[in-house]
Amino acid sequence: MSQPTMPAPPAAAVGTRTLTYAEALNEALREEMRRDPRVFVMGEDVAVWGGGGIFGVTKGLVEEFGPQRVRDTPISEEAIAALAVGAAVAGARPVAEFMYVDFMGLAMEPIVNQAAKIRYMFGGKARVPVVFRAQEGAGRGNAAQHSQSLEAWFCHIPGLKVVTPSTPADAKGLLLSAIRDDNPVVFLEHKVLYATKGPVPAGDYVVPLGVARRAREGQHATFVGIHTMVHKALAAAEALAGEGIELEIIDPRTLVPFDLDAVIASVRKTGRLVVGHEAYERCGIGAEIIAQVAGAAFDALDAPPVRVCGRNVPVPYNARLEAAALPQAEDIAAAVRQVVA
Amino acid sequence: MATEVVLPRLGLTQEEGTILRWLKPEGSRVGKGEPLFEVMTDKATLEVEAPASGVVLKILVAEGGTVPVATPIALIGEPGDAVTDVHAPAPPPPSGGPVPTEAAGVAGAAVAGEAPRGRAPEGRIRISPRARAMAESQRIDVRTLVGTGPDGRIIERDVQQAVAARAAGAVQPAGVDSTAASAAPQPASASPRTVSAPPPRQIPAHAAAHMRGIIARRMLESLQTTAQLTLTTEVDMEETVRLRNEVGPELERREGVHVTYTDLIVRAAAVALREHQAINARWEGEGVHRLPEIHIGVAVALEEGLVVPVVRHADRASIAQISAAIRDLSERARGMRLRPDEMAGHTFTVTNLGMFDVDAFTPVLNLPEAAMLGVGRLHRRPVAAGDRAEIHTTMVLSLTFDHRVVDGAPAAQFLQRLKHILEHPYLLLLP
Repeated sequence: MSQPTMPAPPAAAVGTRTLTYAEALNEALREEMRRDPRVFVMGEDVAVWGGGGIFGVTKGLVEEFGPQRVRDTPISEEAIAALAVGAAVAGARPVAEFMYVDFMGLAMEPIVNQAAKIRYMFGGKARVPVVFRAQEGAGRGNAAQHSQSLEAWFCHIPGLKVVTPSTPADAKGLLLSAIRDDNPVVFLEHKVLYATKGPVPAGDYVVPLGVARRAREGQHATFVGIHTMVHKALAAAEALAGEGIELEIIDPRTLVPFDLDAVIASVRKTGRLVVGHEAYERCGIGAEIIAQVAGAAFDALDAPPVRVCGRNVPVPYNARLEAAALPQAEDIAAAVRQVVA
Repeated sequence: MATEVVLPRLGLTQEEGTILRWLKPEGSRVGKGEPLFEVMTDKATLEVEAPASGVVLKILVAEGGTVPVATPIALIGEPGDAVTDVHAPAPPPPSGGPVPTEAAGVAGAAVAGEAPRGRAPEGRIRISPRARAMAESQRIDVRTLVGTGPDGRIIERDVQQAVAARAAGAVQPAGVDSTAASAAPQPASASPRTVSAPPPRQIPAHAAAHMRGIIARRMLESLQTTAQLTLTTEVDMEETVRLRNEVGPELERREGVHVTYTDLIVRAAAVALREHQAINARWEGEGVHRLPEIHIGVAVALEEGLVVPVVRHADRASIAQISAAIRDLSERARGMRLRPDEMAGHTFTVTNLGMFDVDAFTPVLNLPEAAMLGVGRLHRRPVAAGDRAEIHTTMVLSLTFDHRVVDGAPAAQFLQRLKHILEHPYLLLLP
């Protein structure tokens, strides 16, 4: 591994191409590794086997940057996380990949008790600029141990930032911000989104953490959701528009820090709030969002907020049952009709 | 130790209230927080919850009674609790001796101040936070609003509607056309109301909105909580027309009253009700409660809505007395000068749409009554007289009744008796 040196100044963003979500992530890694020699990636099968992880996010990186900066690891999530934390404290900027978020339970000690606490416990003298990448979500029949959405675990821990991009552009822009952040960031991708395409600015395109995106403008109800729920809400909004209901869709993009102001501004306009995530409804981030809105903008609410979330059951592998356990566009539409009734 | 139930102050300007209905009769058990009685204030009709659990030991103010705020109106306790010394609205001064009126007033106020005991409606109105905030900023009394959201919740659009209604009321001059107002001056043949009445007073828009809210709630409650249906029958009014033509001028000369068909029909209904007590009843909890007295409400249309003043003991009143009472009540109703107790205690209601050429209709029960009579137009048409056709004056009566309280056959018999009386109207002259 090369000695960390100072990064080059960012190049300007120029032009826009259509890329997949996975290609956009790959571009962010590649460009940032070119710019900043302190950045390296590590994880199971990120280098040699399969040519860049099971979804190809690190594809081609080992050829360009070599095995010192693109490192295959043993199958030990605790080791991946702990090594990344140590390297970050020592001055590197590691991007550690976990094959499935479901496996991160094995890595919670270094993430929760070390990465999230070190800067605080050393009085700000130590920094932990690490990114923990993983993919979550269901929709591929990967069964109960490979289909969960566990963002709420990390949102619960002070000291961790949590990022959940829903588009290729945001995937690139947010990953650049995550790598450049001096604090540990849990960067959660969605396995179904890897193949989705969208316009992505070329060059140094950065999306700041903590700034929501309005994915659709409407005045009758506000939907706040992440990952696939943004796309399902857009589909629901088309159906609702035919009924005269204009749905506003807010993609918070990062859950910690959370752009509460954007959500409240929308709810002040619409008076109605629906939140959605694939994660289990119970103690999900949706409950947190509703609680924050109710506390800060109680008098803006014209109807009780509604959650559209994953059922509180292990995610089934059978396609029909899996679909039934997940929140769908029709569920969002029904919830919106309920709050505007 | 029995708990005193006092009349709560439900609005800033409220000085007194009228008990419309005791929802728990004396002797029945009530749980804290259960609706105990219905009170009419200057603004609205509200249900008030019991302040304590126990048995309703004594009701101190009967239905229809109007008392000042903070007056004890009932006692809740356990059987055996003392029920004496409860009529005093204020406690005696500690020093004994004569009670200065001012001190009594202060004591009464203190009771009202310390006691949110009966006060419940304000905290129990189903309203969204957004609607409440908007109502506050727009100075709309939320108790007057009717919720159209899920489960009757008041939501933003209800407040917006009230604001719009108020704005519309503020910009429109008095005397804007409305069915009731335009109907007031009747052709002499169609309407008996040729006596000059005081001009209708323009009611402030917010009061109109209050009234609309009360009407909306009560009409919906009537249709949603009873099993009502309507029977119709045609009455040959030839004899009643003759009676009115012959007796009317006499009564006008001797008693100064102008007898209308409504007066005669109210009298006929009262006589028939005396004979058909099953109709003069109401559903109370789990059973039918027949009412010993006959008080007939007469629906009066106003520009802003509808009120139903009550002719008390109509079965014991003569045609002249009924006529005088109805004229007095309806004139004061149009001026919004009725007292709350003059609209309470009805056991049966008569409503007349004949002046609008309506033949028959389905009146909506005026709760808590079990029956209501709708009067159609008088008109001349061919009827069979033996094997010949003759032109007679006829009228259709529409009787709505609550099938929980009375079955179809007895309701039909009552209607049949009413028809008989109007076709043989000298029966109206019997005491």
